[in-house]
Amino acid sequence: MAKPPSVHSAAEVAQMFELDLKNRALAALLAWLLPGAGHLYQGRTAKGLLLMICITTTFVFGFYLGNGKVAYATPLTMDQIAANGGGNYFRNRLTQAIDRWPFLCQAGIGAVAVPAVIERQRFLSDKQPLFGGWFWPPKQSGRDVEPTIDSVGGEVQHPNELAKWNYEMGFYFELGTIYTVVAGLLNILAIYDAHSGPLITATPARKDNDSAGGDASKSGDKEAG
Amino acid sequence: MIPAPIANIAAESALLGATSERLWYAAPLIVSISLVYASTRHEETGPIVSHAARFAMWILVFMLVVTGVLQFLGWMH
Repeated sequence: MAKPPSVHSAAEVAQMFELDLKNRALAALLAWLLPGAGHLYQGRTAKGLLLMICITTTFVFGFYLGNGKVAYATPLTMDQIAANGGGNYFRNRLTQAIDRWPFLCQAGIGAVAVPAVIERQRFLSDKQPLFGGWFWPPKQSGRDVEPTIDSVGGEVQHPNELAKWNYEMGFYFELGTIYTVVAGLLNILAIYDAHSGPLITATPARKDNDSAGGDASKSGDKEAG
Repeated sequence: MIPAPIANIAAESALLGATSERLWYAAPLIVSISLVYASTRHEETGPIVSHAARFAMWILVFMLVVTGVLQFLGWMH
């Protein structure tokens, strides 16, 4: 029975592709902050630009579809969870994370995560938004939310601002969320690539083929092209 | 008089047609996901693009199969 394929180490991959990954931790940090920036730092320009264009465009398009409201950190505080009969610390943290789970994925892009966390802190401190309402969490009380005027002039009250956004944007709020979530997840792949190079799997050689070398069936550009 | 199963298929096809406009939003995602995924497997542009094209085809086929299964289940219902 064949063994599952293993992943080459960063050093092996760098040697295979003649890559200089430079400071890998710094490259990963840059890749997190801005998609493709880690690759540009390493001199992998074409790939860096490809990643930057793909991931940034995906995020920006989703952000545009969601009217700039789909990326924000949860306004739910640990105190609020405890006041509503929360459990232990980890359970409360989990509740907090699940409250706005798309942000966990969107935070794969540092340029989104950092302003969103800053805006959350300002929101909780009753300060004014820094980025013109982008990354600003929704108001949780319906009393602070202006009603929507529908197509026949009727007033539609909302229990909170998130409900208002969903009512007004409908499908596009969900679509914008999906686009931004996918962009954040894709950037995690890009961060790995900046840190460790392309993900090349190596199937261990069979016992009767040991003399031919241990990674005879690896896949990659050297073999493909 | 149109037989009921054919009328159902026609109605479901019309419904699919009405929602197909929304399916176009999947196209940029498929392109983006394919290219980024392929770029984490290769270093040169040529292999990245060819891998991305194959991967995009797989996603499309998968989506078509799922759509077909859902249509069939809807028709059975």
